[in-house]
Amino acid sequence: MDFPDEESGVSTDYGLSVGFKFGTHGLGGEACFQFHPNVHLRLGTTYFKYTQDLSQIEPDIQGEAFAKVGGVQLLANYYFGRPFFISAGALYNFFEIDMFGLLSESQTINGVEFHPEDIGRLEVNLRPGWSLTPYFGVGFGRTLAMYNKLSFAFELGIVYLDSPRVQLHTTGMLSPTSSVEQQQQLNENLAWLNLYPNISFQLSYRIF
Amino acid sequence: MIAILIVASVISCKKITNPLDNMQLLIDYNIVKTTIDVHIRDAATGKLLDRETSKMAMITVSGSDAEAVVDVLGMAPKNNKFPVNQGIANMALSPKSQYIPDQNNVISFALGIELPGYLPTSKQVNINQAGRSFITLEVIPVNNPPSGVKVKQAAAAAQTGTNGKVVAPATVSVSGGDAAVHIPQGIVMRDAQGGLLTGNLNVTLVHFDLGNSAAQASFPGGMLPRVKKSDGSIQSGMFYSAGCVAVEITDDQGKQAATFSDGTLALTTAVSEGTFNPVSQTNITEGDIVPVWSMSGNSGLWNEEGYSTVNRENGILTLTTELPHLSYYSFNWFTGTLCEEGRPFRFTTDRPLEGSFLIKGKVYRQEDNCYLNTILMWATSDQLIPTSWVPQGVGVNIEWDMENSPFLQPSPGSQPTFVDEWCGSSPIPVELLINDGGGLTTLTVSVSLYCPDDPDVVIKPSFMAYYRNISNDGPVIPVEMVEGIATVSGIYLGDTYEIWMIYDGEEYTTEINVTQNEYSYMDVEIPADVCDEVFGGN
Repeated sequence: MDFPDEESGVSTDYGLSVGFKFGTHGLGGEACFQFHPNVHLRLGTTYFKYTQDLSQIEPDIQGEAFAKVGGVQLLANYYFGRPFFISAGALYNFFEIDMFGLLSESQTINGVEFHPEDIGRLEVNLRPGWSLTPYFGVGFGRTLAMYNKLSFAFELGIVYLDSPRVQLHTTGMLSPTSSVEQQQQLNENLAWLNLYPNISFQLSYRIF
Repeated sequence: MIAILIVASVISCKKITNPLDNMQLLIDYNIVKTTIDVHIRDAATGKLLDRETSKMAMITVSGSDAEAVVDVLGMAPKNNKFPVNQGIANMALSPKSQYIPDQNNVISFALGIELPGYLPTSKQVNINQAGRSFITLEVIPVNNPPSGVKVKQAAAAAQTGTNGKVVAPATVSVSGGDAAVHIPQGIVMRDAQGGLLTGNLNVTLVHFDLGNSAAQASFPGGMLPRVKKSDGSIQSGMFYSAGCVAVEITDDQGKQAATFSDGTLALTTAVSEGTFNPVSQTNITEGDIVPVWSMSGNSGLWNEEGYSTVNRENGILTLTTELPHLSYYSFNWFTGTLCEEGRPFRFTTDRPLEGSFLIKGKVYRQEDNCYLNTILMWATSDQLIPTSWVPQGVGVNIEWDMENSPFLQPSPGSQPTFVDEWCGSSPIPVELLINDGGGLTTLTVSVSLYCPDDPDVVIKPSFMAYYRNISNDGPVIPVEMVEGIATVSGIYLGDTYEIWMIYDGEEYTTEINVTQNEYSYMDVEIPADVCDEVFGGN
């Protein structure tokens, strides 16, 4: 197998690179295999989790929220011009938003003290409707260098999540809040959230 | 993350919606664990007070644990008074730990009712377990008393001088001479505040013929009273009654006599020959000694005043006593004790029955067939229904009344139910038959309470709702509401029902023509001051 020769301007048919990427799907790595001069197969994973202490936003509430993005991607790139490519494939999606909260202090109602757990917890969890989600994007640059060791790529894309599955769970006096009707309403309200954008930057190193 | 969601929303094909649109914070406001439904019935008709009469009625709570009694959302009532709607007053026990009832923490209080045109009455209530409690109060209309109760209203029956002394003696009797009160010359009467009664004295005299079951049912406070004995001890037990009389004296200024000086009133009442004497274990006879009791105001407590000896005058057995003050007076043997925990009932139906139903029973003592009290229970088929404060050592018969569950009827073997000893733990079986006629269904009503300032915060209440079949002018029937859901079984297809709940004296009503298994909604705005108390005011 030949290494590409920039002077000859001829690339080899095969190649393999590993790369580091970051973007709206988090941080991660990727292996890219070239088996045709214009077609690359990419297998990678990204992950990012952001956690927020709710009491820092609202002192009357104790709880935590986190957003998790990323996934395992299997994509194919097709280069239709030297620096441009289109990318399509599937993503096993780690996307998840989760939040739980309850009052930080006991409340006195009609002279009776109720502890926060008596009043109740409110938990919301949002995940994609599909775990295995389709992806389509366009990119600029290379995920596997043609002539050098290093390459850079910028990519814009969309992941179709399907309407998200939102679960609402409440306890204590708030128990009726998570009724079937309310869950349906919340799912309807968030049904528009069926796409997730991908903006990523990738730096790759060609192994051969 | 927000930027990402904005981008996603821009390219999404669906209309963007606020995630909280049409969402509500639903609150299970089930902090009150013990509710008390007080059913006020006209003793003459046996029916709950109607809407208009109820508007004039007010229930007063008094006694040692009066502070424990709150409304169904846990709010303390103003002046310990509760309004009445359609013959029913809703109340509850405060959820504070010291008022949670159990065998070691019996919550005791008295309910009194004053209603224009009716004799005032009161009843002692003891609650020793959380849950739904039902209390029945019978009120006697002065102008239309039930059979066995005679009322004599004598205007200007006696007169006083300006010094308050009665200038001439007077005697007031009920028709037939079954009871008479004698007002001696020179007696001075004062009201509870010490004010003199002057001018014309108007007398109301009420006689209960306790050989009559309707009169027994009207006996003030019932035959399972709480009493204060002459030694000062307070006991719960059972009356065997030989007679009961109420005396009320007012002047033209409306002052009501409470105490006397310079003399006493003399009260005489006839005694039925068939009256059972539990001491001699035979019918009452001349020379028998009967304790005398009085009950004042809204205390619900009978006080032992002394004794009276049975005489025979003109061939009629009589009892006589001097009245040191005015109130209800009765001549009763007080005997026995009450068990705080009685044998439970187990109601079974001939076919499976979903949901709960309200069942009423009239309890009669086997010895003399005397009406003792009415029990109301919220029952579920094949479940044990606990009982409390039941008489010990006497057999009773219970006649079931299916007014509140017209789709059920007791089996012949269970009507009446004979209970030789009510105290104990073994279940008392009662068999019921379902008589649906094929046209019954179930109705579910969802009730929400909301505050005017924040309609997205909704309380799902857990207390009683009521319904009534308008199509056949049916009775008022309570139904349990849990987390805002009232499931009403035994509904006839095609009929129209009125369903309501009561809060703070207001009725919140919906009307439903039942064409199928229905789901109906009732949204109720609660007063702002209640919202402040529940959710915290600004």
